[in-house]
Amino acid sequence: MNASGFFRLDPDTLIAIAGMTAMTLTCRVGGYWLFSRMKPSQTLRDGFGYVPASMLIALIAPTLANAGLAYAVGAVAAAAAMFMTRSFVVATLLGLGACWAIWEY
Amino acid sequence: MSETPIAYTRHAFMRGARAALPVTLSSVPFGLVCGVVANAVGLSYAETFLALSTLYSGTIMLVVLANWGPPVPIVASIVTALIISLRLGLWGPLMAPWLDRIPWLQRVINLQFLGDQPWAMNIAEMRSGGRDAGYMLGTGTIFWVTWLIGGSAGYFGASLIALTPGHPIFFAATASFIATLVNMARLPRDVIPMVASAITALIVNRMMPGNSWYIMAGVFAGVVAGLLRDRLHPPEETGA
Repeated sequence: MNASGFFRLDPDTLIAIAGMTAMTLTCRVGGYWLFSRMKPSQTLRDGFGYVPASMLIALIAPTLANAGLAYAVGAVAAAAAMFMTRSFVVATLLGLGACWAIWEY
Repeated sequence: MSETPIAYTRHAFMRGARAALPVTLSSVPFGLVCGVVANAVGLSYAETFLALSTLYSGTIMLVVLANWGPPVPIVASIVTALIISLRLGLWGPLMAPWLDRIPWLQRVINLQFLGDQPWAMNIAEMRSGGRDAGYMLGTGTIFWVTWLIGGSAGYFGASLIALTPGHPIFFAATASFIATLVNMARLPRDVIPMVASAITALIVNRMMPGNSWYIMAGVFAGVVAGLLRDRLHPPEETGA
């Protein structure tokens, strides 16, 4: 077990988790409540539609730019595996395996 | 639409649970990764369990923990959670035919604990004529329990190996993001937003290292670029 302790509840961490949970709840329940009463505009729907891909690439790009060869190889392996197998499990494991292999080497 | 009223039965709960069971296996690796990362950044198991069970979003957990403290980035974490959750606002309305017929507290529970895959399963069930909202709670429950088991296994598994900051196990989070991106990027529609987002994220991350604002900046740039492109070149009716 790590040094942080099994049952420790850090106040700042609790506030962060509660705040994040409040956000997911607001979006899920609020969206149902609001859009059951008014139809979301096409622009709003399109805008929301661009969020997932934009978010993922924003997350990945700096990580890869700041890391070394092992991450780059792992990224190519994960992307190729997902493209070919469409299996989340296979892609994650192959990407991790490739990265780990280069790192060990 | 038929005149049969919407039911909410234990029978449909069991049917949903049975249908969800094989599908949940695909969500286990994601849970494992979340548990490993939570352990690595120093969350206690109590904190990890709380995040897994109530926040119930692996994507938010991984994004936020990738930029964890000390100090704990409270504001940035909450804003990140909001940005990532926005798209979920469009899910509930599609489930309205079922949700509108059950008590309010049950609606909130069903909405909060419906992940990507069970949501897709429920839309399919509803479109094939399903008239029993118990199915939704059944699928949601199975996914929630599997998620807690996967995340906990990752957390305790990670304590068995010594994790140094540069350890390649952390790449598992990035690999899972890449797999998700390959799976859900709409080509060619998402290309321009992705390019705009990547460039913006790189610049902001270089200017303000050590926090997660670059994600919000990237998302903002991606959405604006996508909407501008749509304005200049409206997507065809049949496309996307």
